[in-house]
Amino acid sequence: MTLDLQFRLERGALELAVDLAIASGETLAVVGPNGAGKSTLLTAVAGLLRIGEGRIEHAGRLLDGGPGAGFVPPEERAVGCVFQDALLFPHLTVLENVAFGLRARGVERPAARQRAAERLERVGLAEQAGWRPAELSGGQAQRVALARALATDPAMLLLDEPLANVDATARLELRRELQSHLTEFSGVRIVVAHDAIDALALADRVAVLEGGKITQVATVAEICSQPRSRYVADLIGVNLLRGRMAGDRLVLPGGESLVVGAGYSGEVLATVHPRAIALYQQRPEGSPRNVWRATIGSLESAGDRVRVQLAGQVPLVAEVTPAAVADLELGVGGEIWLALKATEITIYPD
Amino acid sequence: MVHAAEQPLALRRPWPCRALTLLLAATSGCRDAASDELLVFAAASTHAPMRAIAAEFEAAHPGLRVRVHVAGTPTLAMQIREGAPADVFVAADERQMRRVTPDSRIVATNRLTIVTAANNPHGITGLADLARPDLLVALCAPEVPAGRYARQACERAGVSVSSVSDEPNVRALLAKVALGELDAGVLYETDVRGQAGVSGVAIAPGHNVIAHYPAAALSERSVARDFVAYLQTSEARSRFAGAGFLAP
Amino acid sequence: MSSSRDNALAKAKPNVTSRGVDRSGFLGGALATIAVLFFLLPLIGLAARAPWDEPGRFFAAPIVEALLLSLGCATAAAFLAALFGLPLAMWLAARDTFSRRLVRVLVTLPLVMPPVVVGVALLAAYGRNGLVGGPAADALGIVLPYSIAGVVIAEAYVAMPFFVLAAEAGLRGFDGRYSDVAATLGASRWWRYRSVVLPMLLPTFAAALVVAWARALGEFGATVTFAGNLAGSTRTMPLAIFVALESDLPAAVALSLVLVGVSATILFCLRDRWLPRGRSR
Repeated sequence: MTLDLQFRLERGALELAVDLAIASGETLAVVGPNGAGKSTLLTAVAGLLRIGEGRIEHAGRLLDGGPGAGFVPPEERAVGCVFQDALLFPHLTVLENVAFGLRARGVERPAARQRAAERLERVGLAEQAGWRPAELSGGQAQRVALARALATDPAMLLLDEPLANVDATARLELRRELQSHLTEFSGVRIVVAHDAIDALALADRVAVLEGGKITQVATVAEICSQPRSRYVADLIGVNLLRGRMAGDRLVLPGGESLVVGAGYSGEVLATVHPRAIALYQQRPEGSPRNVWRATIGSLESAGDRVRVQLAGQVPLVAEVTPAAVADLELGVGGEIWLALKATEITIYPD
Repeated sequence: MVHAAEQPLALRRPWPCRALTLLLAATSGCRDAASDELLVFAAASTHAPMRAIAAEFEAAHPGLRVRVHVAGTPTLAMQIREGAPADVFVAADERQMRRVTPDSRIVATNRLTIVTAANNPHGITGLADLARPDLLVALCAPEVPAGRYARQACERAGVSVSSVSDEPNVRALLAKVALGELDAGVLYETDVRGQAGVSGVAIAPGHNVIAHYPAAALSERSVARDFVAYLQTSEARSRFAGAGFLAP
Repeated sequence: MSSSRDNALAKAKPNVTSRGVDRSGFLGGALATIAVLFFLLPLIGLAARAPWDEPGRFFAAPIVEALLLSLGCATAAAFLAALFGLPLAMWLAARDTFSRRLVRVLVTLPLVMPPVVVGVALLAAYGRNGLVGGPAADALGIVLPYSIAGVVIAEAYVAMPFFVLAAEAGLRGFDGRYSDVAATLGASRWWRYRSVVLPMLLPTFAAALVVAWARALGEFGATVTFAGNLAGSTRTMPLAIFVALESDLPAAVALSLVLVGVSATILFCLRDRWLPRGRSR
């Protein structure tokens, strides 16, 4: 059973075009910058928004065929949604929230409450059954939202940045729990994520959505080793260069070239890990064949490292230790020598 | 037909508005205390003759300004008791006047009349007709002088009138008759005179009740006493008569 | 009401308690104190004038009669305003079109009309010689002026704008995403309305109802003009107070205090009941 998405829709300035197939038992993460259309994609799958043209099909059943064609309203789609804000009904208790979907589908109150209690037990919130949503922490609220979405045994589970409003400490634990709930769930899983770690930790495959277009769909491993857009490269923290091979050199659009080794040809992409870039005060001697002088554009601390923005021949980001910053007397606007070994550059076809 | 704008403000509004009126009267009083102004509180029904009389009095007293503040007699009496700086009070009711001052003179009188729609379509000829079951009749509330006098008149005529609504003042009663929401009512002759859309039907003199309009000087100023004296002159009386009042 | 713009399902963390607003500081506290005194002093002044030495005057039969009539008519008027006002508020809140804006102005008009004018207008429409009232009286024998129904109609007319505007504001402020979530959970349109939208807006509607009720309870001008003033059938408390004011100030004050006291007690109890539970754990 797969969910087939092949549609376009316009919403304000956004033009969303999607062509994806997601199999049951698979988790697809949708990543992309703000305003790229990630949430819009989810709302279209949920049936809260009609598509402009194309079709949305699940297990051969047409859910939305565009204007004039068939449309299955959200309440008949068997989707479970968890939103960033949890959106628990404030006038109902935690238990009543989880039982809501069952009651809406005509399950009698005692049976619905019984099943809801079991669901709450599984997310570890049996004791909070009688609480009001306002009394829950962010992480607890998301667990309840998940239990509520799963209570109706949906065929598709749609999570919209489920970890965004959870504080850092609770996040780690909730991510792990979410992971196990996702593996238990046998239907189609789509997770919209803003955070790379969330996406990579939860997903089997990742779809990159930029400006309403899908720029890359790949497994997590592939995304990490062969990013295809600046956004993804930034997300996983590597430098991405695009160019054409000429012998053993990669020629960049500006005319500069890097020695990358033989064995490739045509249009290619290249990644360079920021830690692979070596910085020197004096021109280095010896083996590195890619050596040039660059101006320091900015310095920013990232965890236990400092990210150095290098302007010059080839714009790159390097990562060094704070000690190195002091040793090299790095300062914004200063000049520095940088060296890059050909073996540290990963090349793959564009 | 009575236009809302013609009704004195304080009669139309519930009493928070009256408080505002009181406030306005009080502040204007403070401002004028030193200047040559005479503040006259006059019953609503005397509005037209009082304005004319005030103008004539001003003409005879160069430099003096007479300001006439018009409202229902109970409202005026309350305002005066609450400290409004009136120099002269002209009331439509002796009881209210007695609550303000024991020393007053009658300057005019007023008769009751039956009010009907224009040209008296139901052919009412006297108080006895007000008991007819086919007619919708209302009187003023017994708490209001016009209502009290109307009930006295009906009693004298031996007529039992069932009022469908005890109207809070003569203007409300007049308006409803003019709108056709009432067939008849009893109020003062001066209320009916000159009003479009209504006609008056005289009440037999033996049954009629005469309302007395007392006037009193409230301040020690001689001009206040002069004004009360002027109200009793023949010039003033002819003004009252022009509006339908009778001589005391 | 179904809002699902991009990222719409992702913003605005709900405010858990309302205490966040209570950071008024010294100046704010001083101004608030003045506001309280401003409201309270006239009531104290009223109480000071009351005929406490004659307690019987507070419980005289005509007072009780007028009070019961007032409470009954105001309650009927408030519910009448809600019955017709709620669908109207929903229609107004649904979309912003020219016709709806026009109707909103129309609904607001009774707020600016002097109540006496409202009374005259009601007579012109539903009176004996009114546009509708005349034919209705001839054909059906329905006569509203000088009847309890007339009191309720007059009060409903002035109270309805309060209900409609308050309810509309509540409806507009409603976060449509809750309704969307309910839809994804399998709730039909009716079920979403019944179990999510209505219960979540209930405090708002209740507050709107209370405001309408309070306005109806204090109604004077339209009532006396349209329904008249007859003890036992159309004389409500404000009418009794107004008439008493003409002759007997202490009686008017006693009546006013009874009206203020009874309505304050009712409002206090209602407020306690209708505040959403579970906030003060």
